[in-house]
Amino acid sequence: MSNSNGATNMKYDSLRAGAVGGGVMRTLSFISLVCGTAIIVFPLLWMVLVSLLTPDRAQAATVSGDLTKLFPNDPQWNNFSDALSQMGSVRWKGFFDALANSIVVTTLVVTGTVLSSSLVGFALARIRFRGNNALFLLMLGTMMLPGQVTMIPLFLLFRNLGWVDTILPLVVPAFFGSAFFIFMYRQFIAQVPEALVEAAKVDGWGWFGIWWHVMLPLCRPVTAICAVFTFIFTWNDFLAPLIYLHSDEQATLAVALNSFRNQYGGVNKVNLLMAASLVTMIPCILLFLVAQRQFIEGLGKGAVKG
Amino acid sequence: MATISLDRVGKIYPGGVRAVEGVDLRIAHGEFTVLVGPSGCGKSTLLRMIAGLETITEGVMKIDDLVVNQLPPQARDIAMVFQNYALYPHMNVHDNMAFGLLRRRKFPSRLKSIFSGSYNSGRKTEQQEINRKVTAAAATLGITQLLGRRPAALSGGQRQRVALGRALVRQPKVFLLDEPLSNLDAKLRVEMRAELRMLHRRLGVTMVYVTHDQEEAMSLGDRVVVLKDGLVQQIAAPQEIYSKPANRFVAEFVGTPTMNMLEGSLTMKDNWATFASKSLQFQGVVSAWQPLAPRGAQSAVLGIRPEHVLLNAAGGMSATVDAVEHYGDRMDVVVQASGQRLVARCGPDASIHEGSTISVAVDLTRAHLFENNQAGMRIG
Repeated sequence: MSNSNGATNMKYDSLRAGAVGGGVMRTLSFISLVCGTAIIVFPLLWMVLVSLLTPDRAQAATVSGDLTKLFPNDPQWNNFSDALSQMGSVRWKGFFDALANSIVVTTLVVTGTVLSSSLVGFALARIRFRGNNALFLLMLGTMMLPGQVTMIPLFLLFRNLGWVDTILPLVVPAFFGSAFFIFMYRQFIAQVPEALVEAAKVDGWGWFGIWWHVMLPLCRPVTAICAVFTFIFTWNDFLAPLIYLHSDEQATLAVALNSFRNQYGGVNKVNLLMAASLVTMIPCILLFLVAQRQFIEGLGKGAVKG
Repeated sequence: MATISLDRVGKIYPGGVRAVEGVDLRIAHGEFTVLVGPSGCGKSTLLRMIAGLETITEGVMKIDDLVVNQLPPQARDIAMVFQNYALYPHMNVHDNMAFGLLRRRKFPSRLKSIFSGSYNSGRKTEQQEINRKVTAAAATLGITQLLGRRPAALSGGQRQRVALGRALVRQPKVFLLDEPLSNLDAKLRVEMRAELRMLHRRLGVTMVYVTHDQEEAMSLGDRVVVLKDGLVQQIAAPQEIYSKPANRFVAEFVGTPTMNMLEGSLTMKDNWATFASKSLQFQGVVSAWQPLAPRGAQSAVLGIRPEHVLLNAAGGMSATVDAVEHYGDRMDVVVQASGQRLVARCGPDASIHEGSTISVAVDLTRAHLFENNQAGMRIG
């Protein structure tokens, strides 16, 4: 009897110890998550706070390091309209030009990357032809090349084509696929049951029809990732537009923001810079929130029995 | 008319593996042909060669006098039902069924209609026609209420019907079915089998069906093609396959329980047959074997279907009952006679118990005789 009591007590003790251990672990992981979130959120919060300050407080908070001035006692909401309207030489025009350019470039680049990468990925995954694997390896090999290596040859090429100061150097390469996304599409499509392709063939469709009607809809999770990453990269890309787009009319938002910073990057109008940067970030944040479900969702269910 | 003819058709894979060898087969219009055999026998490969999903490396294949060796699947006017259904998961049932119809209009005529301004009206009538066909096919298969659902929301049986509907709606020359019932439970499988048979009778189209289940093959086919290791073993009507198997493999493959096989020697004196196997001996008048008499005593394999092993027969040999399997409508009895194992089938009311001793006889007139070698060809 005493033995069994002892055993029961030991069991409870170990359970309690486990519970305590679990609690400590939970607290630790909670604290580390809060710290991680704080590290990521702090710059954003700092931007929001500075964008709402008066020029004097902004200067005090950023340059003089007086953190007590960081919290806006009188939020300056008109900072946003001021910042956007003062972008470029003509009031509001600079902002709308840059916005339109960014939208056009980003839309074309996203469309081009998704279409070409999925098409090439599909071909590499499904069409049996001589040299298939060699081509795939060669394509993967291009991922090892740093962008800086090809920067000058590419510039010379596009200059010879007369494409400098047009959006073509930014857009056209996207229609030739991106090695990383081709790799992603290929791996995903390789998992799709071969029977679906065969069924579509028997249904009378050729390779293009199968790609468009069967594979692209099935690849929605990959397409979401490809589209969102390409969008964010292109929207925020600073280097390529800076190299190829020279005139104000052609500038994208990232470049326009840069010229704006040269103008206001001094200590006196950092609040306007932050306001303009925040507005530029909005599409990326919205897109990520909208598309994040697609990252998780898989559409392969129900294709075959199981 | 849709006939299929295969003339010495074969398939060798790039690695040198031979999957199908020298198949000669003529399938008449409206015939239900079943390809059956154990796994790896080449039956699915042969079906996929008819579909155009596998290249033909030897021989000539024709559909309606047209040589199709080099034609892709989309040019053969066939429809196929896959073992795992292969429904497009992102489309609902209606779109799955309509998918094969969308492409009927060729690109040049579509372009012409755009320029002539009749594109939209043309599209509308095309869409109406497609909807009409899909609705009709769905009604035939009783899946009208499922048209708006996605495949993931369907049961196995429903998916099977949709896969059939997708084939049906295109009104192809030839239906190819690759083990379409193998993923269904036993009850549903029997139901669908009967439905398939009725559907075939109603449509009167040429169907080629692949299965590894000999029972399914026998119950469905107008003709059954038995394959082994890529070679055709026998092509015949189900009843003939059962009653006159061409060789030992077919005899053992078809029928449940398997045919009893006894190796021994046969001696014929006119029409009096004596078959001795170890210490077992069967005798009787078998006129059909009389031509074998001049050969004297010869090594052979005697095949006896379980229903032709007679239990409690007068003048039989003594045997011990090893096992009794009750099926309600019949009993299968496993007996040991002089060290030889025999399976017998009898009525459900026979009073036979495990461990008891009974007498066993064989109806030699209904027995089969095969060569005692690897080919095991039928000799009587």
